[in-house]
Amino acid sequence: MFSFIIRRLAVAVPTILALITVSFVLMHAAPGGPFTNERNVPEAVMENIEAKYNLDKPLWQQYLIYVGNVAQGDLGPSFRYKDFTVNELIESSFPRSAYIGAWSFLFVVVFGVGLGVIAALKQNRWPDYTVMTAAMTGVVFPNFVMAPLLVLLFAVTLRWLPAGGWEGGQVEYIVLPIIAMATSYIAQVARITRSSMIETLRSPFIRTARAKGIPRHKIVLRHALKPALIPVVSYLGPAFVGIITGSVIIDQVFSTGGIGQHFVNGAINRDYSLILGVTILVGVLTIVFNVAVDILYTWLDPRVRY
Amino acid sequence: MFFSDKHAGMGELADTLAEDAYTEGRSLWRDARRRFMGHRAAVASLLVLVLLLLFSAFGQFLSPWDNESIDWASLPNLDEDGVPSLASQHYFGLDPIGRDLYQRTVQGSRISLMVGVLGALTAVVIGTLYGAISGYVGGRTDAIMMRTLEVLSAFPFMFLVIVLMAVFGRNVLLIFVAIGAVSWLNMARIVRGQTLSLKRKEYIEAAMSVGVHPLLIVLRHIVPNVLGVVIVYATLLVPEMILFESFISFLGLGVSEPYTSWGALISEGADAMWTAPWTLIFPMLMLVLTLFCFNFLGDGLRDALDPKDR
Amino acid sequence: MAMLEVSNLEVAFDTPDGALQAVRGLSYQLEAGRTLGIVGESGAGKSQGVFALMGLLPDNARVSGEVMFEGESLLNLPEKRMNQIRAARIGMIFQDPMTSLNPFMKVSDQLIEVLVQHKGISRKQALQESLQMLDAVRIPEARNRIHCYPHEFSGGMRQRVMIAMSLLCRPRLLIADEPTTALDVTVQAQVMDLLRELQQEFNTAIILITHDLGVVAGSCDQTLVMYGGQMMEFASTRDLFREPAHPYTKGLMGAIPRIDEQMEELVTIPGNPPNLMNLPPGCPFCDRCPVAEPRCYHELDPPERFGAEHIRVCNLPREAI
Repeated sequence: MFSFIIRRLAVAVPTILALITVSFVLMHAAPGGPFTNERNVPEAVMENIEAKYNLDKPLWQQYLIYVGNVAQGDLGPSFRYKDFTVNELIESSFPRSAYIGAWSFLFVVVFGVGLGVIAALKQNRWPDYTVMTAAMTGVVFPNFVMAPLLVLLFAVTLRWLPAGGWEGGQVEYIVLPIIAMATSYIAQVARITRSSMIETLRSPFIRTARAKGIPRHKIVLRHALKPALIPVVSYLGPAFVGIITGSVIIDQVFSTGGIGQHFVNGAINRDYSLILGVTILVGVLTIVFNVAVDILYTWLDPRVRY
Repeated sequence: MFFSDKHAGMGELADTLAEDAYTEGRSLWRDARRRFMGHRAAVASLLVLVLLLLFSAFGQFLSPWDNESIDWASLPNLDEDGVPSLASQHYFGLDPIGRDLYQRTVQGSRISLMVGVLGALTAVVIGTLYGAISGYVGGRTDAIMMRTLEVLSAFPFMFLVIVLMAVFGRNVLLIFVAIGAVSWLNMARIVRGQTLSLKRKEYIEAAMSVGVHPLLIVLRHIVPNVLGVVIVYATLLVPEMILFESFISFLGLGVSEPYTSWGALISEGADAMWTAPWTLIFPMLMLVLTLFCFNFLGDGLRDALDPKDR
Repeated sequence: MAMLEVSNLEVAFDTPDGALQAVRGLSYQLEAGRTLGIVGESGAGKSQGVFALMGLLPDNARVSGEVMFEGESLLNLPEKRMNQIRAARIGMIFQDPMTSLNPFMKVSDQLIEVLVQHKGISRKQALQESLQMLDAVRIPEARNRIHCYPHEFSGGMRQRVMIAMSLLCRPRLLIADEPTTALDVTVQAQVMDLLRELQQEFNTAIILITHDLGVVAGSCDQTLVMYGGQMMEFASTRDLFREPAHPYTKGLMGAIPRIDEQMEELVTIPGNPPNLMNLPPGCPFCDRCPVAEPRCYHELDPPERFGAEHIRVCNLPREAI
């Protein structure tokens, strides 16, 4: 198992390198540098700035310097927020996004799986119809629709909850972001869980378990849950990426001061080092999460061996 | 998925039934059509989608306004004069800078639907070919192609696309390219799986044994046979592509003025909703309705064309 | 009274295209310690008929008739009571041990849960008893292999595990649904031998479902031939083979290849099994029957008894077939 993890992480290195390379090339293929819109800057000052950010060096040197720095965990200075490094910006904002994201992810798994199982066990009866109608509806409310809709409902109209802000992550400030983030994924996970649970309950080995006189609730928990979760686990990877990506929206709409806000501002202001740094961070997180998913697989399915 | 599970617990009888169907010699496509027509939600969705398509193509002729000019008379008092009304013929009201929201929505629908359909088409072409070749050739080529796919799937594409938008500026064409580039990954994987199982079928083996050119086999035998699955997933890809574009446009990094899309409209609406909630509601309804219909349509098609119910 | 009495059993499935009659008017008895073979092609309703006894049919099944097992009516029993009978008093073996054993659970856990459930003994004790049973079905090195997953066993070994699992509580009746169909020919014989030996050791009655008359001949006291969900013939195996009294039984026997006869080609019964969705009003076999008369398409005479408990369902006189 340990060597499997090491091997998987080793494969991840070229992926990250490819990610860095692609974003780096993209960024430098841009027409005009990050400082081109700053007018009235004397030539000498401009050169100074460019020297400071290594922009005067040939591209391949910039690339090598950057990769070397990243390898040491240094994402360089922000081009836009001149007093900050990218690391500092990430350190201050990432925990907020991670906090909302982690709660959302937990909600997705717990409610998605729970509702899906309930629907499957009560197939074609009212709990099933209720859950599935809600899920059908939930799926079509992506985070960027949910977020303004929730604000319109609970902040503008009802005035129950604040429309945005952080305030140390108090409950009333993170409820709406989490709901907005999680809704469509809960719906999706519920649908996947339901159909996979129904499928599993039709398997011959479930009939065997029934023939053994095992009570229904034990059959579900002991025999059916693990196999039914496998498709759900395959969806966790995409859901994770979706939630990370969703942070961009959520942070923006609810002004949480999370990393998504920096990313969008960085993209609009051409803050190369910042968006490059965020992209790399996201890539690394995704890869680490996928390794975790693979490990989960080996635990769920004894036939999978590495 | 939702409605098909009613035929639950029929596993044991499936063989008998399949045999019966075979002896009666029903055509596969006729059977598929019968199943699809029996899926009322899917049929209704198809109708609504046709209406939406007509709306996006011809909707502009139903209103005297256009999507660019500003209604100066109503502008000073948008909160009251800008509300949706039949009398002023601003059916959806005015947008935050005084343009007719109905016309803007028609125009945005056009972009969103176009992005969705073109994105899905790109996915179909690249994904089907990539998957069919990878699965058909097999061996080392397959391993390398699948490895590449895996590396690509691990990319946080949305971030890259946003970077792309930031770097090259906002451009509809660029959105198409970006979306097309990311959309085909799953399609390729699905088609590859189908191809692998098809490859073991007798008629393909027969074609191989008499020396038919591999490319011809892929085009003539593999591609037509994976068509059913491809249609189903293409249908489900359209809303995904629409979402993708809307996401980017919501962030203000997608289509640029005077063009708009549902995502961009929702974004504008979100900024203006404190005083003009209709600017949020109408585009949102359009988007949600479309996603809803495409999902139902996909489910119906899946039941009809891929009854194994994956 | 016989240990198991099935009378007038009917099984139908509600399907989107209408009702599907899987079993019609099935009646038979089984004495303790004896073996009954149920023979027929796939789709004849053999499996559905026994799944009904155990309450294992899917939700869209409708069952009627009466099933008395040791004086207790099995149909419409509450789930809780049924669970006390399953495995404890009626054991079951399924066709494909690959899919019938839970691939996600260790064999040990699957065995232990039966004993813990029915006997209420500790897991440790249950493990010991499970090991003894694995020895009884002759799985080599059971002590080491009991903690393996099903996929780590061969097909024959898996079916032995299945048999061991069904016998853990020493049930009075064992239902074996095509227990050898999914196995290699050589392994089939071994599994059948094992079943016979275990039957003597535990004095278990067996219902053996198969499509293979050869298996029946070697191991069953009585044989019931089914077609299109109905009983065609029921007799002691000896009588059935000596004096088959139904065209379908004869057809089945003709379809068994024999080494001692020279044959131009394999004998088959022409045609396909009937559509259970839309059964003809008369005899289900009429379409394929070589001696069918016009009235066979419209009506079917009630069962005819003759000899020593020999039952046949056919319009034609015995001499005519």
